[in-house]
Amino acid sequence: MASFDFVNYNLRTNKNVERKLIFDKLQKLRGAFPINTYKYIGLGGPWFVDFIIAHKALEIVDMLSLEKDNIGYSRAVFNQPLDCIKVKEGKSIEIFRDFNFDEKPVLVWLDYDGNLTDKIALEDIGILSNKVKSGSIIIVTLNAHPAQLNPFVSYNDVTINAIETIINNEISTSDEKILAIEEQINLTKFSKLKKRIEALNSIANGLVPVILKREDFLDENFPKVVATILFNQFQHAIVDSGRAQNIKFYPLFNIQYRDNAPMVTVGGMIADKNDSIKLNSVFPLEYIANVNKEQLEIKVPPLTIKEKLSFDQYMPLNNKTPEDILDELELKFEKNHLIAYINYYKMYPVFGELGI
Amino acid sequence: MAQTVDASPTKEFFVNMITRDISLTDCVLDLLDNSVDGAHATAILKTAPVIAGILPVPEDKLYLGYYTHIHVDQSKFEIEDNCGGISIENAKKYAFHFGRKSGTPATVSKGIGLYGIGMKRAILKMGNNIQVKSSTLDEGFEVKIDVQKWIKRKKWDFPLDEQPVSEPAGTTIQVTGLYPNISVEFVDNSFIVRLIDTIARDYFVFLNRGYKVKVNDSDVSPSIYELRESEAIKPSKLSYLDETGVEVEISAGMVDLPPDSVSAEEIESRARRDPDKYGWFVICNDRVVLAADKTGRTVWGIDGFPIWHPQYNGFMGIVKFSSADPSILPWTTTKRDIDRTNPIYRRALVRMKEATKIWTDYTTLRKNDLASAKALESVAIAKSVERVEVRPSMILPKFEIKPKIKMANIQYQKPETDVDKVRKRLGNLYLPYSEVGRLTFEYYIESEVEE
Repeated sequence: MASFDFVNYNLRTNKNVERKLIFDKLQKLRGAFPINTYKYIGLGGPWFVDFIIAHKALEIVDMLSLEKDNIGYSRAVFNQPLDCIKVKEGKSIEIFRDFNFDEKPVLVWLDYDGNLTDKIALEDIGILSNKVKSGSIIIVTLNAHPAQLNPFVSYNDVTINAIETIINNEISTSDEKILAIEEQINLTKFSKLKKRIEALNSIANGLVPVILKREDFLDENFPKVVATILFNQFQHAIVDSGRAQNIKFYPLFNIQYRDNAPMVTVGGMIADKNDSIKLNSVFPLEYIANVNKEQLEIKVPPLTIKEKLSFDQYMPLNNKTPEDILDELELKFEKNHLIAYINYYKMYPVFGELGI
Repeated sequence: MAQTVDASPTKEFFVNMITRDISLTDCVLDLLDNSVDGAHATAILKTAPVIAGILPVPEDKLYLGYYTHIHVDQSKFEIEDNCGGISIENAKKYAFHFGRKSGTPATVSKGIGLYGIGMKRAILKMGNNIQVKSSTLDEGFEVKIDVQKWIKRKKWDFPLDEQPVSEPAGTTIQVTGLYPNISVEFVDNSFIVRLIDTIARDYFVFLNRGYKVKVNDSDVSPSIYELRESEAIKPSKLSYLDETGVEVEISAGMVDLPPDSVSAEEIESRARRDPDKYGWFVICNDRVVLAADKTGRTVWGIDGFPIWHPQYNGFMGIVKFSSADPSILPWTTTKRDIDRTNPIYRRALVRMKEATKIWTDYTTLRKNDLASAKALESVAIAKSVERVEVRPSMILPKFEIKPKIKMANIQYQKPETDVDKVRKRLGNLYLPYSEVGRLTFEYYIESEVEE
């Protein structure tokens, strides 16, 4: 892969597109739901990027940002960009435990630093699905790199210890030892796949898809597994809460993007019968049914300003094909990248240096 | 004037009662039991010595070719098998009759189905629209039930339509119009996973002998039951005929290496790694009734026997009861629990306790010479329970009690962040805390104390 396929990670083009895409969809929901009266809950950090959009695009005026430690809290308070944002210090699960969710529906976007293995996302989904009012929207973003399972898979130490014990054993015969060592080796060889599935089961018991293959643990596929686990947790938490006869979870977001590590964003609405009818007026049933099955992949290329402006002159694309554009511009360029750009050109960010 | 009171139960009350006390998973298993019984009844005929030159089917392949496919989604439950089907006579007498008529024999010799309530209970619990289609080699039928309409009718019978014979001989049950509380379970991945795990564990004997079960298109593979064996360590297996004629087989031994210490941390990390296999398993006619039991249902904490303690981790005991008449076996109607007052079971318990005692004593004795114990345990390799040889009691190492070095326990707390830094230096971020303590102490001894 050539170096121009990489981005300056600070700029995070794909993250930027994803954020716009999500707020774009939330914007559509405003026709049916008074989202401006919701409470927005997020992990604003010192930047509050999503909070600012939530305020400007959705006109939300009641917002809460969670900070898990003291330094984060202090920086967040210092940088707080709007008067309608409150910052609270504490672990999300603890704050949610004491939070009064009966007051009004919430729009929650938890854009975590972590991944599945710390179980924070699963716990938060569990408690939120239990408590939020109908019409609430819950979105989570997680790192979905398959390497997160590595600490659970590297059984080398265990095997080496076991074999050492066998060899140092002064009582047994060598035949016995050989058999026992063979067993240890077989156990270790007995596929990384099995260990990975076991690891997932230990993290998300009961939520892991029943059939998983080797390919599911590749970089490009693992985000789908993570999404399925998260969706399963939404469904399961509602069944568990005993609310399932009146309230259901309707998936709305299932997005994979990467600027460096693959990330996954899933979410949806918790809705009773009435709200589900309103929801279907915006997003029809077929759309919702498909969210689970198909993950949207955002993969926009890093472009120079000149490339972007030149491509834009062909947008919106009418009769021409991506090949035509490249021919006319006399530019050699990865076709798939161009198609990815065409899909999201309206949301493509341009970064520049500020003179401050 | 004396008045009569109509004490006959309403159907609604009846349906409510019989479906209340059974879990959804157990409902599905009840239906699976019927399939397995069907397979057993037809398969057993093929084990007869030589019908017209065809070799008899060996025991370990008894169920090869038989299957049950289970499908659940938010609108439908379906179970389909090729296990011989239900004859019209049986359908009228048992399958659709409430409660087995008294005086009728058990349907299948060595069967696992009981009391003839299973199928009705299962389907009535799930939904309103039920369709049962079945065909044997000679005849076929279909029963369609609209539960709401049926409840309103006075009569208790179900309409049965005769149908032409269809292939393969077997039964398909479909329930639609699922009740909302059932439908939500069927879309919950946890339910599916639990169902698959339970089938793998409880039907391992059938699955090992060729029976195929699929749940929503994924194959269920049997749980593995193994005990460890070496020169110094050998599991026990004994069998006897109970005075009632019930065959009993008891095996016990080491399934895993016993824990080094019984720290909460180690126990938790073990529990996360594996499905629980420590404790007693009770099997009736090849069907697991209790799994990994650590309670008074088996030996623990009863009649002076110690309650289960994590020090006993690594122990597995299996007791099997087999009888041509399933109703005398020590299980309850749900087949999910045992009847501890059953005399056959009580007699078995005596021997189960003896087998357990050998292990519990050993877990204390081995502390006298932990190094040799671990060495000997480490070379014991797993062997399937079926291949364990007959041996009246477990063989375990014996240790001479070495002169005791007086030991001191050290316990202290340190911030996690600091411990993580040490772990990093020690080269393993997942090192148990106890190891961090031991290694740092040894380091101090080595560099500061020893000359």
